[in-house]
Amino acid sequence: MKKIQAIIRASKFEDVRDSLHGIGVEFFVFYEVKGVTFQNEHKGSYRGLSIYDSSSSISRRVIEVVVPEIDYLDVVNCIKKAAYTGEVGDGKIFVSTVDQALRISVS
Amino acid sequence: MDPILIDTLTQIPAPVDSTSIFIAALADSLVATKMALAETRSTLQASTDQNSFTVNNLWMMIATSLVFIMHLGFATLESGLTRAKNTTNVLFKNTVIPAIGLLTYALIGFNLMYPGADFAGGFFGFSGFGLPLPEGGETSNYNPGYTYWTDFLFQGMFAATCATIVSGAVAERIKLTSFLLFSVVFVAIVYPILGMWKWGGGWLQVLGFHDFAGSTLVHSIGGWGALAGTMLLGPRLGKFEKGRIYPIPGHSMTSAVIGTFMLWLGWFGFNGGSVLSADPALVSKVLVTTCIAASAGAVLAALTIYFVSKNFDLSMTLNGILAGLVAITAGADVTSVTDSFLIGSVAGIVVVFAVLMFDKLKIDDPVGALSVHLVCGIWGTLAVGVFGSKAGVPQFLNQSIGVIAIGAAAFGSALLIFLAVKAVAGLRVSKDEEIYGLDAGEHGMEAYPNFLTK
Repeated sequence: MKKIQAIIRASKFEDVRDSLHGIGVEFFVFYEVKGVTFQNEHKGSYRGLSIYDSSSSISRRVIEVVVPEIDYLDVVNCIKKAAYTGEVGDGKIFVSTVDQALRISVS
Repeated sequence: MDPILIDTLTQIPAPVDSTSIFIAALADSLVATKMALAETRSTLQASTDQNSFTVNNLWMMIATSLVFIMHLGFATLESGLTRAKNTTNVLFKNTVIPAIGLLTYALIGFNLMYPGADFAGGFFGFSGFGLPLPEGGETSNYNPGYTYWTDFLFQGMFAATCATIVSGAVAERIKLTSFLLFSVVFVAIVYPILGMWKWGGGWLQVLGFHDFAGSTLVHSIGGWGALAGTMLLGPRLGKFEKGRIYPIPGHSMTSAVIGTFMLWLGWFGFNGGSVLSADPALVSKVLVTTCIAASAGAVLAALTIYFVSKNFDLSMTLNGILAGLVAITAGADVTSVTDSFLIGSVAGIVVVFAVLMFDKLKIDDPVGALSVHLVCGIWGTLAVGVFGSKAGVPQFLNQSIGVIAIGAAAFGSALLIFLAVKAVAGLRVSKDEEIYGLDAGEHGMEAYPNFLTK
């Protein structure tokens, strides 16, 4: 099994979700994250004081999906295609091996 | 002359002096007509008086309601400019303060502030506990503008605003019980006595100090209390560390905007009601100067903060509106439209630099209450000596004396009360509670409990 973790633009989330559903992925999780970069750092301000944490960090979404080994390339390509804009900051995909998967509701 | 009457008179036989009878009859009828006319006139006059009394009193009750809604404004503004974890605490304070303020004002405050000529001295007067209805208190004999009841409620709404000002500056770190203890004493004793110096016919009134609706008497007194509180409490954790100043953004700009507009609306009653009658000319003029100053404050504050930080900061613009309103409050009745524009503009600029100054001084004021109510309250009071029909050096000196005297008394007594409360109950919540939030620590409930779904 492979776990695919993809950091994508929040604006591309719907596209990726629909594409994954289109190739037969029935379930995945996602969460909101913020990234920090020191290139092109944007400085905000609140009541006259410089502020970094909320306005300068980059909002992204991470999706995680675990699939059988034979399917993972399809999923990776599907995400790559759906999350693509061509601009810097489209995100990254990490693939790792999963040893075991257990379902809690089945004893 | 009535032809029939002439006919009757001429037919009367000789021995009677017809002329004198005629004159007497005429005189009688004249007197009767005159009396009837006088009666009609006085009835008309009485009903006009009664009508204008009713209209005056009605406007004063509307103004009272407008000042009342300012408490909702303070609640939403303060909660919007503080963090979500302290929202219940901020709202709770703003909920109970009007209640406490009205109760204490009914018990002693009103009679301390307006003791009446029989009891008033220069500095202190007290005409007894409670609200006994004076002779003719419900008629225009009490005052052509309002009844005794309206008088009490209008002034009572003012009293509570004073303590609400303190709550914003000390938010996010003061113990709830300690704050309430302070507020009770401050609003029950300090505010009415200092207010009596001017509005109750005390020595500042005699001196010629002018404060139309309370730039000094309401806003600066609250501001001085807030300054004493913030100085004794110290800043919030994480505000000043390692020689740097870290901003702590408020959690809801929407809430802050709602609060500011609610306060602006309330100011129609705060200033408009301070005319103390429905005088068409003065009330409408006061509303215009009030709104022009608020608008000027908003625009100038927005521009000023843009030049300082290259950002149009909304919270600072909201402070600018309030700064303009606080500043015009002292002279809304004696300034022209141009004057009010200038007063509001200066307030809008001053409030931005005041916020930056307090940060430099390491005085932590989450909502800008010191900059708005204290600094612009002082500015507005002094501005009466610079702009408008009372401008002049003697008036400016009178205004300065008022600002200094009230300032010293308010700051001194607030400091004493806070020190006493600190000795009895402590002022600040524990470090853990401050980090975890006062909602959990003081109230055991969150304002927004459903962020984690179940």
